[in-house]
Amino acid sequence: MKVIICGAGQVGWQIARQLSGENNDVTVVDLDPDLVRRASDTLDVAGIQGHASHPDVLDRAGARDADMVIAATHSDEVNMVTCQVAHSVFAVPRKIARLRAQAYLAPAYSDLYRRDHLPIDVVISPEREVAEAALRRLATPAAFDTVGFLNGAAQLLGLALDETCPVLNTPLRQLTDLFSTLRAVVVGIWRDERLFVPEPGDQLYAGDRIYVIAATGDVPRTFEIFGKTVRRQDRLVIIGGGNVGLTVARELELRQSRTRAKIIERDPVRAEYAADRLERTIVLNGDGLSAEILAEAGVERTDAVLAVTDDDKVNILAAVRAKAAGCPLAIALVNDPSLVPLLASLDIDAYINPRQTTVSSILRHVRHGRVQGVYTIGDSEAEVIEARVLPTSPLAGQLIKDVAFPEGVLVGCIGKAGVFHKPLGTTRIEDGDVVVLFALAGDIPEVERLLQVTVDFF
Amino acid sequence: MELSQLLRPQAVKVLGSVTSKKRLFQELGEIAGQSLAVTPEAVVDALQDRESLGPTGVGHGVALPHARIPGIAVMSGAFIRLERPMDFESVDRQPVDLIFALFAPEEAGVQHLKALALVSRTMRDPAICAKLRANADPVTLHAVLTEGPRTRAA
Repeated sequence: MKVIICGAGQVGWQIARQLSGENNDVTVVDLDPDLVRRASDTLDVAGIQGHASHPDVLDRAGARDADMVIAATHSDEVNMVTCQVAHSVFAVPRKIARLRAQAYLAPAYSDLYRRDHLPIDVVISPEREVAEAALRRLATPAAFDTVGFLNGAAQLLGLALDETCPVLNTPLRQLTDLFSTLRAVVVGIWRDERLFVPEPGDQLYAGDRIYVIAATGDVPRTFEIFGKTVRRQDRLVIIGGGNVGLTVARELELRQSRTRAKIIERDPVRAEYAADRLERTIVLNGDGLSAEILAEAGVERTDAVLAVTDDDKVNILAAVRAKAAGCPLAIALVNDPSLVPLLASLDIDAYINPRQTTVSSILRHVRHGRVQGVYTIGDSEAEVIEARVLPTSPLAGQLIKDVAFPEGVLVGCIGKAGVFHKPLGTTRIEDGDVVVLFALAGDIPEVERLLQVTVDFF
Repeated sequence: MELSQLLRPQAVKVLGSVTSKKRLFQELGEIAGQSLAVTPEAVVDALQDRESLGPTGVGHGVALPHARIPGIAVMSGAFIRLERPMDFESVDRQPVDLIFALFAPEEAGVQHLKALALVSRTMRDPAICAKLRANADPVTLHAVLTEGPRTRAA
């Protein structure tokens, strides 16, 4: 597939890396010659320096042959015009744009992005994605990572294991026998900064960070078995009243959840703006790093703190301070992935990486066709792929034990007519089933092959 | 069913080179748009959607792109010979220069599978492929394609 990526910033670069690594023909366009050079030097992509929405620039980037344009520059308006030009001048069939301004995202105006108006097939809003990720984390506080599959029938959970985990030093095979009714599968393990897919003889150790795919109904039991206590989130302090913080607070109000939130915002104008848009949430004007303001927000009695300012360091330090004051759970927004390894030693429970969430949702749409959902793990070390099994594909009609899955791939669960099935060697994958696969990055092309139909598919 | 029922003489074309599947599908869309009651865009969309599920390159330089297309009443085909072969992500990774496309009605039952089998059988014949590669005149190509199976039966 030929893809043009407009904007070689963090998100554009990450998508370019991912797609070029999968044998796609990728061209990156950016106004900044240094960013273009960085992309074309380090990745197997072509680079074009220029204004992404200008027709001549898109032409040079090969838009006439392109199957997809991903417009992820810093300007919403450039992204919009890029999609329009790609559509009207170059008949590019699929167009994805990142749009930040909330004003463009109001559901009342979504008609704007129809093909005969402003042709954007998929609008990605990083702030909204991050807010949703934050809400998911708050809903399952015992997990460091969580996302739903099979329309909510399955959950991917990231669990950090400590000495209190009751199932350490036991081969996974034995756990399967011990908890035979538990609908959950350990699909990935981070150990010594390496991610791998476990075999039945592997054991879990304290310090492991594991990924589990569980039936949603069995999530509480999964937590219990892996030694995680589930507590209700009644009181929440949000540090940062920007779009993310405000969206989370509004969403909590809309969902009529029990949670009572307080927002700490440093900028008085922004604090007032946020307060005007919220009903039950209290907005405090002050510095989220200040011990006094944290005390005023009652951080020592709160169940969770969510640090979502636009500054990674503020988020990390505010989370640390809140934990020190006695808050049991701290979640920080972290843009720079190189800071992530620090978080565990700072006792920060979970993080949200906006780049990762945005890349995840763009990839979900890139992999269209067979694939319905994609969630990227860590810094794209692996993906969880949800895909429908089509007739004639190599998976269709096979028993799981007979499929030549690569070593770095594990079936997490199978949806048959929307119902969760725990995968066993003797489970038959039928066409129409939905499989959820955990795959290390290097094995993704092989997964794609397993999902492809043969020429006989009409 | 015979190929002469599927392939009209006007639906055979020879092109110098095509730089991408997208352009190839646009060419096929043009051919279909001339004889069938559909827009070229609808054909391109359908071919691209089908191709995204798995490439239709069958190896030995042959590709058989096909799709069900809303608004089409009867099965029909189009043939393009490329002077410069193009990459097609085929099973054998060989570039493709012989393309036989099939456009099917949305509810085609088993007719479309029969048509695909017929085209596939014809395009697997090395003698026919050699003749197709040796000729550049659309009329001759049409004759080779539509007479192929009959000469073999005789």
